[in-house]
Amino acid sequence: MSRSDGVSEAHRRYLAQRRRRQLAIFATQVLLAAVLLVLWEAGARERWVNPFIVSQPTRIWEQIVRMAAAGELWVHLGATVWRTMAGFGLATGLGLLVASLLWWSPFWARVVDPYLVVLNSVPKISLGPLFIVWLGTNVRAVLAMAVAIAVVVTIVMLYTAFRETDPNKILLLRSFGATRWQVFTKVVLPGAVPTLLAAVKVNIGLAWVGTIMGEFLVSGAGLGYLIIYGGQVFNLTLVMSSIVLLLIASTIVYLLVDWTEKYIARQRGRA
Amino acid sequence: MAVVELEDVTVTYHTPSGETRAVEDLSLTVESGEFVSIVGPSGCGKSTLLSLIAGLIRPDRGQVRVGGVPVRGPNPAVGYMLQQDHLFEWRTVLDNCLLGLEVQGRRTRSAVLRVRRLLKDVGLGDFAHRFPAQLSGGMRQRAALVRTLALDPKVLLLDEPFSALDYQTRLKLEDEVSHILRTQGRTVIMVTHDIAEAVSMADRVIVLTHRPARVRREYVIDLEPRRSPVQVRESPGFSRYFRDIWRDLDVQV
Repeated sequence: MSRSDGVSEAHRRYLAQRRRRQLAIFATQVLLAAVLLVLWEAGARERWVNPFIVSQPTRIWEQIVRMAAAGELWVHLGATVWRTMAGFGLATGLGLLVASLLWWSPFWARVVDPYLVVLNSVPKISLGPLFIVWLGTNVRAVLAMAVAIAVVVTIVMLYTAFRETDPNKILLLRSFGATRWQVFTKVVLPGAVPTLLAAVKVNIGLAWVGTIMGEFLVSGAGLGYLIIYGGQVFNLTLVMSSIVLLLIASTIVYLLVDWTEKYIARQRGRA
Repeated sequence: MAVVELEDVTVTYHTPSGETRAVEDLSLTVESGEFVSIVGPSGCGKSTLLSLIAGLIRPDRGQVRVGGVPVRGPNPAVGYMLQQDHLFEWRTVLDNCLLGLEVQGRRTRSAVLRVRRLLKDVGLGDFAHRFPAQLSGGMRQRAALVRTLALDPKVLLLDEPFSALDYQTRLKLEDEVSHILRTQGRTVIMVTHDIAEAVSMADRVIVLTHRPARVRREYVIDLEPRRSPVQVRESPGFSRYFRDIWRDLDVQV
């Protein structure tokens, strides 16, 4: 057994094996994507499948390059990303506010409880026509859709987390003579940060759903609009291209949120 | 001079299934600089007494006075230390210890220095900027002690402060805490279910009855005071107190 650098041979072997395994997983992931793309492309070229219906990777690529060159790509992508972020921000902010008010007033929390249950269970897409009539066929209806989908879950998640604050921690603060506001800012809110971060992750996903659904219904721009439009004119390449763009955008946003969450966790000494 | 006075205090708890009398016509007095332990059968309302003195609950009848003034709510002159440390995971040890000062708007530079000195006194000088998760159980409870002492309370209420610790840590901490509190001449009221802990640390042990709690008997512990609790446990008189209190508690399993 050589212990030249303080690490045993067995441990070195263990680490090497671990590294190999991680590499193997990553390589397989890349390979899987490559194989699917090649099969798709080959299948379309050799007419195993009808490219008019399933499109093909090179056509999607050309479509995206064309849209980028014409500048439309940024208009549509920008519109959808902007609306998603705004819907996400509004839903999270509003959810946080309502959950805080409910914590503040246990009486109203109990009054509102059955209404929340009903609102939570109703499919928000069914409210679409109402939003259009009330707010007009414009971006406001799209935002309303995104907010409607995300806000109730946020309220329920955060309010539950607020209520689960350790009563002894509140007792401790009260023994210091803390006001209700101090109890909220010193323990209830910071204690709910992990839940807040989880809610943020859920909300981002829901905001994408809400925005795309809103764009299906009313918009004249955005990836949701392109998908619906492409479907109506049977341009499946346009549909696929928009989906690919959506995949890329939502993955980037998710990674940003994930990274922020880890950063905050590290700051709080939990990592 | 009497620092804490309870006079014919009665407390009742109300729940949908009925009312429970936790404390009835209870009177007791604690002198300045005295270390008093309160023992009693489990669920007898020991912690209720501390909540009364801390001003967290009001009695239905009777009066509670601290420093001669009737208690009307939480009072900076009283420090409350709970069974669990309840350190906030997202704050460093130092920030945890400054919590009370922060709440009371007294977090000044000199206060921070004083708390740092206290941390050093309990052996946590190097851990001021660590997070609670990085501390052992004993260290966490020491930090909780500093958090309570940071407010410089006249009266310290300890609610089974060592019961969550393993035996060795517990003995060690009893010694340390008792040394610190006696050196600083604090008035201490400690609730515990551990008779040995009560006898070895306190000047006086008050035994309560089953619910509703009343004072059953008082023992002035006369065992060469100012010796450490571990040493007190070896004094010849120790086991007599232990036996008498055990009998008073009339434990039914």
